[in-house]
Amino acid sequence: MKQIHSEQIDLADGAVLRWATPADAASYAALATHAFVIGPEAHPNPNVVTYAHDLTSDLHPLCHSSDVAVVSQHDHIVAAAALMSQPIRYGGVIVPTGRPELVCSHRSVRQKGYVRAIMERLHAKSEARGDLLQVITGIPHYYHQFGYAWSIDYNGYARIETNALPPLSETHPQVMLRPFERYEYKRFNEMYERELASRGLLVTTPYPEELFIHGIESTVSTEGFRPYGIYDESNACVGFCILTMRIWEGFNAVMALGFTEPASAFTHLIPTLHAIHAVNQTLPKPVSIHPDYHAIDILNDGEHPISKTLSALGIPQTTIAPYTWYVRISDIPRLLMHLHTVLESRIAASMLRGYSGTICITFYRNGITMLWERGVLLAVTTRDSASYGDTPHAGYPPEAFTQQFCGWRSHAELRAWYPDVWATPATTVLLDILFPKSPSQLLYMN
Amino acid sequence: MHPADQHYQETLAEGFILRWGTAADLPSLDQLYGTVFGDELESGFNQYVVANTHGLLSGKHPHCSPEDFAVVSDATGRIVAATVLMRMNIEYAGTYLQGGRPEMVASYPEVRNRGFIRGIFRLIHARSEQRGDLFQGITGIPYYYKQFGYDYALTLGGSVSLPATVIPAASLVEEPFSIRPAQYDDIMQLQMLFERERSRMYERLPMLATSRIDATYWRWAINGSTSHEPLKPYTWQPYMITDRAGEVVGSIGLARIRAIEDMAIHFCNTEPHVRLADVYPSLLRAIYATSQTIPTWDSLTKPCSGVRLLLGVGHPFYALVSHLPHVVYQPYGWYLRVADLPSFIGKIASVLEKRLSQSVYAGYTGMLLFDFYRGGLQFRIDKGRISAQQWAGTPGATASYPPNVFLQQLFGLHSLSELKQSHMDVRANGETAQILDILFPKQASWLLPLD
Repeated sequence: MKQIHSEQIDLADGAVLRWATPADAASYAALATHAFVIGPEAHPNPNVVTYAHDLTSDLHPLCHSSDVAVVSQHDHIVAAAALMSQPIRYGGVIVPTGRPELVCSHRSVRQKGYVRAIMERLHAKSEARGDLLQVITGIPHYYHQFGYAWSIDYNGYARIETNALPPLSETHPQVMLRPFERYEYKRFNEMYERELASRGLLVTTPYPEELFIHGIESTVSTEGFRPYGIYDESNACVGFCILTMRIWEGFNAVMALGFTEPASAFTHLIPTLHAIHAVNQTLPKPVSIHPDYHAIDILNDGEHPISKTLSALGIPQTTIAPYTWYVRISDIPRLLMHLHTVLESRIAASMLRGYSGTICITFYRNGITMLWERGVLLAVTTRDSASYGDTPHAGYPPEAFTQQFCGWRSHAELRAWYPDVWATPATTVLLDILFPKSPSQLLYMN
Repeated sequence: MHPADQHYQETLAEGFILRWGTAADLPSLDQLYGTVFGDELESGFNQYVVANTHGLLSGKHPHCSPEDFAVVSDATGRIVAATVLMRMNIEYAGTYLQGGRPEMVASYPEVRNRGFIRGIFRLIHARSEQRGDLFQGITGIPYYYKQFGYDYALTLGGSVSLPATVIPAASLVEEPFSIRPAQYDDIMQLQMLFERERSRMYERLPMLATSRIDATYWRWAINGSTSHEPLKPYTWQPYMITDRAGEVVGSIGLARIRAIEDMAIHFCNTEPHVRLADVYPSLLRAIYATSQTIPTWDSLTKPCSGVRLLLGVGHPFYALVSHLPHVVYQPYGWYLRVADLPSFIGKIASVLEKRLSQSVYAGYTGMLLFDFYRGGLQFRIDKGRISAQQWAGTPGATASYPPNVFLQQLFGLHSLSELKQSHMDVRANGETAQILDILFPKQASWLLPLD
């Protein structure tokens, strides 16, 4: 790890790959604003400027300046990406995860492999610090070349136009929003976790206290979130919501929302939406060419019940289909052993309780063997590269297994799409038990 | 020298030679195929594959020429890797398309992972393209051929297995229908019956891509059963279904060699005035009875326990027996490769123009720009007339597909919405999405491997 931190790698054309320091913040920000311009007129993107500063400030709890890999050439940063930590739970078990973020390169140096070199170093660092997954939100197709597969829904929304909000009436309870203070983390987190637990999610996002406080006290970026408490007329906290911090393309997003008794979505959602609307009207609109604020987006990843609730309340909505997180698993045996309790509990809760046997899966360039005894996962080992005549029990092209592992797709769905996904009949039953299709909600923790 | 030239040679590492095969290579080729494909046989040597190779390279096979196999040989001339290039002629919505089919891909275990098969495919593709093939198709082991520019784009197989115990018992002393091996005199009727079968509808649409079988192949298929190559393994033998008067009322293709527990039939059709519903009980009994006389792969092959209807996707036979206990086997996939999409689109332009003219976009003028992330395709539509040419790709694309995934829609395997569901980097919206749905609807196909 120490070696990775201190390394410098010479690339072509006098470029050097190294890790950043806080002194690189301005240069990283300049590169980001060049790379993430908005629209065909290439309007500057002020958000990424403050975001780059935040990630290299040494104040962000999920990213240190030395977690940012930069390629410098002639004293300019020409390509860069940060390796954040992404809080993730899988079936309730914390999975150390790295998140490459704010990946950018100057137009003049593209197609030279600089981003590939950066990603390799980010992956090496991530694995060296013990991460079992890497996840990234990024442009379509591009990250497949670095071993990532689509695997978790990302940023699907129910969109409510503000002019379609039902008016408040005397029958609605009074509701106010107030940003949480740092000492209120415990209260916030209890409500946040309860809301997640109510939905049977597979992959969830713990909300670290450090990030909660950073968002309140020290962030210079508007790319993150702000948690709010929902209060009734007696100033009792009856719920929470997490809002993004700026108007973007005409809307602001509600990233999480929950109520506690005696409040419920049926009684308190409409006044809460009005309260959110009031907050949104105070938020900055960093990009002048974007439309003015006109809509509230509510995250509905993970089969969130918000869409049905809105329909039940007669609130018109449009659905913004989710994009997808890319997920990379570099060491599947290690990951599965880390999650052995989750897998064992699935077997224990199934008709194969007490299962003993060996499951060999080929990923065509390599594979795994899982050894089970009386319902206990004893070992997961790597299989050598598949050869003609190999006789595993199941096969997945590399990108497909990640999709089933993350609960994003079922084995049957994958089989219908990829003829090279297959399993013996008995193994199909086992794989359905071990890796069932399940909803997930993974928040990007900027 | 062009790689397609018969005399082309390339020296590889360690003195291996990549070249086209000659008649002198046949004994060495026999050894390669018999050994590589013999690992699951008791004898360790697969004589069926050897016989099949002899058939392919005999100069008599309707879909293969003796010079169409590429090899890698060592310094002594011994063949260590080889592939045969067959012809694969299909119809796409009634339009004839000439294609190539790499087959019999093999290499000795000790020379694998050296790029020999990659080199061989370079030669195979060069020759296939030189002779005007618009596509290549291959039935092969999972995943492997994606590295050579192929993707699954059509269904292969798909079947229903009926245990012998559920085959309806005969209620009459004399069966109303029986089967007999087809003869040369049956070829015209075989061809007409097969044309009917491949014209069948599924989900209110006709089959999109179908195998074209001409009289030459029927002759080969009939002759193969009685020629000097009785062990030709992978093919089917045509049988005629006859009524009590001996009149032909339909046909089936029966596996020549039984390698699985079931007796497989590869096609099944009846004359328009004869209902398959009336025929099938007798037919199942006849097939099962015939299975007792069909050679098995080896002595490890289990006794025949039923009939496998290996009839592709959506065959009406499946519905007729759905009330009987059965096992459904999902189809595998044909890998397809289309290296020159503009030429392919040009060949099927009349099909696409007809689809467009029957839609709300009749007479449309506009441009579809496909981004394949590593290049693209420009689709120009001028008052309903369609042409295509290469395009550099983003920016400005109106539709995006990862490399080769577009083939799945081009060949009707998956709809645009299905592809958007399975591949998040498939993108098209609004007018482009509507036009793509019209031009390339989801539509079943039925391609028989004509070995």
